[in-house]
Amino acid sequence: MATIEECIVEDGTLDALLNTITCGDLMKTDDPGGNKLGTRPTHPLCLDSELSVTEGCEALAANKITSAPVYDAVKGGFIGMLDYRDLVAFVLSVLHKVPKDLPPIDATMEVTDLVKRALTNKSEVPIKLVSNLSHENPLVSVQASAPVRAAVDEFSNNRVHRLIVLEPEADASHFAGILSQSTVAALVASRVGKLAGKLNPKEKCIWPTGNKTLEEVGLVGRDVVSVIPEDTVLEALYTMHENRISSVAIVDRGEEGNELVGSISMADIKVILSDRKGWRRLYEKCYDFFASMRYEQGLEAGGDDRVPTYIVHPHSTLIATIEKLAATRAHRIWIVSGQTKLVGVVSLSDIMPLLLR
Amino acid sequence: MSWDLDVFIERLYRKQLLSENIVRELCEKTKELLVKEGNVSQVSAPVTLVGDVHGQFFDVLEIFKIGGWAPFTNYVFLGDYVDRGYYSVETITLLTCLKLRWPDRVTLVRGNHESRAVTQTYGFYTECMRKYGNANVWTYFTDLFDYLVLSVVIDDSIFCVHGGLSPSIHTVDQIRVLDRFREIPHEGAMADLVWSDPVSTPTFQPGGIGSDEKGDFAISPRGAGYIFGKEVTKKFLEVNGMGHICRAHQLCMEGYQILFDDMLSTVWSAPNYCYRAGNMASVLQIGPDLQRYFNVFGPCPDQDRNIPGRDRGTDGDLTAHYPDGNDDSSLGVLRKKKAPKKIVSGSLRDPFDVDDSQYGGSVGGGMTKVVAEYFL
Repeated sequence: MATIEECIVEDGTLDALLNTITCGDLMKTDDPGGNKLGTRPTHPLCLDSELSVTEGCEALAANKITSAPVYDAVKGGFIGMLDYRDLVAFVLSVLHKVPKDLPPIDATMEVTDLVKRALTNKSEVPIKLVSNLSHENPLVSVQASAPVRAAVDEFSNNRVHRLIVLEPEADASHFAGILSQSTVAALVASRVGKLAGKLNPKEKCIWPTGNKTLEEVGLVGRDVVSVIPEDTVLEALYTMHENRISSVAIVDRGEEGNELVGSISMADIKVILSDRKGWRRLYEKCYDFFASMRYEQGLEAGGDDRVPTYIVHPHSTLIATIEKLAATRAHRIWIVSGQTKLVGVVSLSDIMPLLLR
Repeated sequence: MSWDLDVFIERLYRKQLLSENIVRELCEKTKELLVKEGNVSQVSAPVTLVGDVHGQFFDVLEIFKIGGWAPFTNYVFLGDYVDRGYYSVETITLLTCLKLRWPDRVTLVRGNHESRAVTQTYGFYTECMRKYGNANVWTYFTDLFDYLVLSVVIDDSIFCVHGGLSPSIHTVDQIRVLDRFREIPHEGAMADLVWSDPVSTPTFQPGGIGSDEKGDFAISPRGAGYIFGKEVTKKFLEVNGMGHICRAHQLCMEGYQILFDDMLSTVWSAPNYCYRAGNMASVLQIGPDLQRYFNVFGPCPDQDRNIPGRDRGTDGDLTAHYPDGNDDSSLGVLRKKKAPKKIVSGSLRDPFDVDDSQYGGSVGGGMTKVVAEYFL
């Protein structure tokens, strides 16, 4: 009986890997005890729908996760996912940056209601009214017994970043945990990654697609949505919301192209919403905000500062990129030519469909 | 003002900024000196190794009080002079002057913060703009950083670097042939040397193919460099015929950390990091026979420190420790002033009443030179 690795070599695709391991198994191997920069929670977190926005934010931040399913005890089931995109949509609607003719599907009444409540007491709105506000992260689930390939399909089709894993128990399904794109990337990195050939430069990854450069797989040269350092945080959030992306590059615009100087992501909203006075920070220059985020993150990571922005090059291989994303647990990485010239961005969402090649 | 490094150094000990023009000249001259140095400096014991100081100027003075003032003690600074602390400019200007004045007694190694992108994010750029009104001084120093050496070898026995090892570097000779006169790249040997970290348990997932072939390196979560383990460290020491690696780059609550059966140690020299981490700091004192001793110390006592934001009136009053003399004194007058009577002893400063008996051995005794000697 051939090993997974032998099948990959013979077949040239990751099918053997993706079809053999189940979602349930993969979820359990997520190692929370790793390097302090990559620690993850050990138990699946879900939020009660009556928690306030502040409490929801604090829970996400304390557990170092960017989204969690919301459970309504009255209805007796999950009503959606709370994600930073929802929180951003909420903030933008409160500050009137989103046109009013885009109400969420559930209830127009609730939107105006939540906006009204928000204006009087900004952080006390219950998250049940906020979850799914962005429409960007519907609740998608997968069975624990399904192969990882099913998860990759869901990621590719639905453009969600994480899935709920359900385990059947008696007649009902029981919430077993969350499976994120990050975990799938980590699986691929650990099984077919080769530290990008550094240990033995002649050695290539056994998965042929992995050895192709980002340029070859077509990920370079796409437009990158960016803001300038003087734009406010609110403007950056609005740009992200408008373009339906979760992060934006901060660049110095030049004649020969944009120089990458920083980045801001929707998840950064947690800093703003977990502090009552945080709303004022929306009007800070986004570069200053980015720098203060890095300053704090370094201290939170026990003094280990990170590079200001995660970067790869057009000639970096796909597998090297996946390995770097897995190690940093980032959702996206910027493609830069030379030292700072921004020429593209690649995210886990772009990578998921490529795993099927 | 005429060019006199001793005057500049004396001013800097009083935390006085030098003018933009002097800084430019200083950096130019230091580059001329450094361009002749190879990527790997050879240094002889006795020598004191200093880890990250991150602009904590008053704590740098503590280091001199405890370890001895240059040039009476030989120093190797392992990088990260700037960012985060409030006095990055004063710190790096002082260290540059000391290097230029006593090039054979002071060695400056490049850290990951000696980089344009990093200093724009973590504070040095902002501080230069605030103190000089423009970015020129930042430009002069970041250009100078391109010239700093990448590593040091002490008596062919102790390898010193800011971060750690690289899968691309098996021998010290491979470091010698790198082109270091550039901004730190995002990847490659130079990036690895300043960004890597040792870790006791590498985090690659078990069961991966060829775990043996992977060896002990894993990609670092910092976004540059690698994390590496005991086997890789052992191999590097064996291949290069050395006994120990000393590096900085990571905060240690006790001021230092010894790993891998004493094959590697981390020295951290910024006490109460960012003025809030509550950690101790240390310097590694290496004796003539390569004996290693971590001299642990706490932050400079508050009454001797100028804390921005608190109402302290004039800039830090250090005149109790230095010769009398005001800013406008001419060179000659300064030289003739008598040395102060107050002598700074070498005992461990312990403002937080930390029980330091666990650190073993005598602490600091005999290593501190009386301040007065320097000014004669």
